[in-house]
Amino acid sequence: MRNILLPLVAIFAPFLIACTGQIEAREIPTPRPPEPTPQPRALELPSDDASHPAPIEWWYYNGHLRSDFGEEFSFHFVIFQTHSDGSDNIFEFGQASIIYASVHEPGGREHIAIISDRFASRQSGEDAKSENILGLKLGNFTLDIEPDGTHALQVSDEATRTKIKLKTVAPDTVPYPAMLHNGIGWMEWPFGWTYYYSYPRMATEGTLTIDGREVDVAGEVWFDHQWGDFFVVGKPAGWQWFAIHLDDGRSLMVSEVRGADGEVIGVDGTLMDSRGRQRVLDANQDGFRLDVFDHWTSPHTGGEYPSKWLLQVASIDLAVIMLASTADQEVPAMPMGNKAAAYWEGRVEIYDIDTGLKTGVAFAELSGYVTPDPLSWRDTAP
Amino acid sequence: MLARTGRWIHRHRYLVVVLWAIALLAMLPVAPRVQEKLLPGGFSNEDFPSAQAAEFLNEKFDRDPISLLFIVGHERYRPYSPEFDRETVRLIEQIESDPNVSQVRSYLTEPGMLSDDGELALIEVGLDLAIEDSLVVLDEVSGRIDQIDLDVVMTGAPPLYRDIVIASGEDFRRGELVAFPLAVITLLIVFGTVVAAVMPAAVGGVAVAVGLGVVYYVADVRDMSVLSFNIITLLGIGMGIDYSLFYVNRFKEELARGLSVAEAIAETHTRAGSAILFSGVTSVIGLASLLLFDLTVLDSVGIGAVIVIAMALLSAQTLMPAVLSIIGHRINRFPVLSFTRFGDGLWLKMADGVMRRPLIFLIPTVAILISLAIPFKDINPGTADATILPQTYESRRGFDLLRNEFGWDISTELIVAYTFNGDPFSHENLAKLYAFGQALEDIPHVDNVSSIVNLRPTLGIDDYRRLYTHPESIYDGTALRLLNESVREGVVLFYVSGDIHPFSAEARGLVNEIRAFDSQDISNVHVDGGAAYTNDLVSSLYGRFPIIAIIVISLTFVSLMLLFRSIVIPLKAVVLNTLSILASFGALVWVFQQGNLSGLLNFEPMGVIEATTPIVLFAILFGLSMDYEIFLLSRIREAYLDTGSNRESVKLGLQRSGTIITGAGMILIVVGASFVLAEVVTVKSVGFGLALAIFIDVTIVRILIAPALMRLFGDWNWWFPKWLDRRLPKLRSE
Repeated sequence: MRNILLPLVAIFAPFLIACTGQIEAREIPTPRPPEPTPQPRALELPSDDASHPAPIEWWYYNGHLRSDFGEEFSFHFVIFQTHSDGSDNIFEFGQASIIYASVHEPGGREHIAIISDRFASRQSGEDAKSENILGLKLGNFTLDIEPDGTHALQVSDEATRTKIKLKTVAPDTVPYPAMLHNGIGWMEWPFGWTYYYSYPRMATEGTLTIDGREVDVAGEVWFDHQWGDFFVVGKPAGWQWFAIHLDDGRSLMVSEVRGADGEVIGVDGTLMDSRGRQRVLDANQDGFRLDVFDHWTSPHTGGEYPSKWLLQVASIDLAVIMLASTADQEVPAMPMGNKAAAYWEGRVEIYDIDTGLKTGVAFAELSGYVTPDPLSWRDTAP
Repeated sequence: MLARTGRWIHRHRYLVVVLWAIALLAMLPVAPRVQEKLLPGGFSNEDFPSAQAAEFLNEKFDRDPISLLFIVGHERYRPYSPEFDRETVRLIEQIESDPNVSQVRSYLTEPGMLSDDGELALIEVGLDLAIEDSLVVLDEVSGRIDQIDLDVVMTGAPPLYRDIVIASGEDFRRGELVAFPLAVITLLIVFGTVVAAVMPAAVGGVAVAVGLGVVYYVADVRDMSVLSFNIITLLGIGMGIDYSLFYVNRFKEELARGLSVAEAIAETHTRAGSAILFSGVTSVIGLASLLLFDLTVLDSVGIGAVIVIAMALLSAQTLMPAVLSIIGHRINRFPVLSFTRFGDGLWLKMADGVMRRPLIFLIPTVAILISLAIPFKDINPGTADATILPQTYESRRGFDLLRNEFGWDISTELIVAYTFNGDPFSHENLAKLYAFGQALEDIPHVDNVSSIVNLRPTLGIDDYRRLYTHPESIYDGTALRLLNESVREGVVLFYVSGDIHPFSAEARGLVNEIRAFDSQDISNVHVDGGAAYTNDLVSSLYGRFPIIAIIVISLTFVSLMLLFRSIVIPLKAVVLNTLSILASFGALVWVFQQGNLSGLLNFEPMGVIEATTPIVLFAILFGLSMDYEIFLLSRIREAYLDTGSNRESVKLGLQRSGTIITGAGMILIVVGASFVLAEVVTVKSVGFGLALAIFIDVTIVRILIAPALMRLFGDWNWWFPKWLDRRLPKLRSE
């Protein structure tokens, strides 16, 4: 029997050895350096009003309107769009559009918020008008940017019996006078980069319906368009942003950005005069100063927002008090978003510090003031 | 000893029949209910690294082990229209009312759950159940969907599993409907009388019924997969008929020689009995090898098949002689076909022709077998997806919708868990995670890695450290979702996508490359996903297959050596057997993996051969082909002992066994071929492989190659070292 077993063992041996083989362990290599930030290109307007395949993009419309009877209104209309790199990879989390609008009626219903009641996907709202620069129809929100450069926006809300139906007046020459922030409409942003430009004064007309009462209105809209690859981080990070219409015809964008540790990491500004000439303001050279004098605590989120400021820009001889028209103009967190993503976006009155006279009106955006919930798997935020 | 047993059975024939009747009556109530005791699944093993990874992730991330996918659409409305959304909300409420549903995700609350054209939406339902328990819940959940004005298609692992069980069950029933009448006709042709034709079917049927009853009770103490049921039944019927067929045939021959019934039984028991016993032993060796793979589905086929074959052997050795003792000469009653034995002269002529010019027949036939076997070198064993089902099944339609409408590409998707000590956001751990994330990106075929440290290629480790100063403050949807869903204390997940088919060898290589980063002392790397499971299954099965095949072949060689007292004949038998199986495997790859003849055979090629199919086929075929070889060689050896002439013995052996082996082979070819009509591609491939291998065996191998080799080896065929002869126990064959 031994004579049979020996050859069998000899035959099996190589297979036994082969089958006991293990995966050879290896070290994790030293990581390579990160890729450089891509170089910006020159903006092309109005075609860049369209949607871009960027991880984050938004279109903001902040307007101040007046009825034939002298009533004043302000409104805020925004579409956020987030998506990955455009791939269909199921392991990434798709694209999303989130929409919000509010109407502010000083002395009347002071702040009416209309928010898309649930998450919406842009894929479901591609507009049929393919010739438009942009055509979005998302639930009860519609936004069209037409080839002549005009912007038409509509939103209706049955719950609050509110409607916004506005269209900008076509510019004499397309596009509208554009404010290219950082001089080229592109800037580095915390954890990335962004294209950013504004049409600060688009003449606009249309109707507002509040509590079922329709009012013809006209006025000026500040349009902000931003897209890029960056991360929006909340408290203690965040920003204060102001889009100011001064009565003398000048338009001023001011922003102050806080980093992840809450320290201010950048102050930017762009000034455009009534003839469309613009100038980038530098925090140091232009003598920028933004001081907060008062706060309002949100009963909804507990967020403590600035509500009164002193803005000084020495180089343009500007020193104004900015005062929130109404304290509660908080925008609740978007569906699917972080609770801390709630922000304050509202009308602000501008007063000359010397004379105390009203010299303009603005919109302010205050982000990063609400304490976030801890991550779902943690009991408390560290 | 066999003669004595035969005589004892003849004397106590009624007692034997009564004992079998009692066994049959005892098992009849439970035999049809075997499937109730068998469990779904059985294709995984808790020792697989992928199974351990899945368990780790389920525990650590409170993940649902399985999920159902509902694809919803409407002929007029689109998702996000009030009408569509209202119905979706109702549907979700109905689904959520099931206590087994742990969570529901839908397009209403999650991005990325719409079809590319926005017409269809996806609802994912997590079930806190094991796959084994999900099939019952499946009906419960779908039963709750009532009067919803949406088109709903349900897919996912549980529905797919259910449909595969239903479809393969229907395939087997359909196959049996086609095969059974053809098998009876074949038996009539072989025996020429109704009584003789019915006997093997009846005795084989009793063996299967009792065997299934035993399986019913075995399933009480050991997990057995429901997917083994059809193969067990098929084998039981096939082998039961085969053994009884050889017994009845020999009995008829002995009666024809003028022996009394008692003498004929004793002689048949001595000669056919031992051949059947050895055939059974070789079959059991082959099928028992399935127990060595440590996979429930293969275990189940192995245990079940060994039980039913043991019953087939026992019934052929006891019930059949008892019944034949009672029937006696009435076995030749009711002749229906007069051309029985028409082939005897033909077999003689063929054997003679082959042996005159052995090389002329040997070289081309071996060349044909080798050519057939060549595609086997490219075999890509993998696991089945929904494309093995026809489009009439709901789970398959859902799978197609996901692939075509939602852009779920057939790519490799892996979830890799990287473990470490402490806070994921500490500077030290972030550095480790960042390096690991980069290493994953650099592996060939990886086209995307998604994790908290693979958000952007422009972010370096310092950026991530700053970004995660307060991770809960991040607004970005993707990052926030990753932070909540893929991070826990001591572990972070990396979602890895590869631009390769999950069943491909490259995907398995990718899994191994990732696992190579596992450093037990510092960090563990767990890999979950289809490709990881396929890798584990294929490694487990095919790591052992060569050893197990060699053990089976060696044991068979030794058995045949004991039986035939020869070295060359067992060697020739195992080599030819291996060659015919390889040829059938090659054809299997050529057709089912490479897609040739897919139009004719009506299936969609998956680019893989289901990993367990070649192993099950090997286990079945090695024993089955060896049966025919043993019956042929037994007759040749018998003639050799009578005549002392190698050439004459081959001619006589072939002549005496030709019709009966062809008949037995025909029955199994018909059974196998009838399953080629099956709808489930794996059932189709098993039927195809079985039919082709047996066809090759009973035609090319037995008629052409075996006689040619016997002629070439001459008297060496029967050479056996005397020292070995003295030491080995003496056994007799037919």
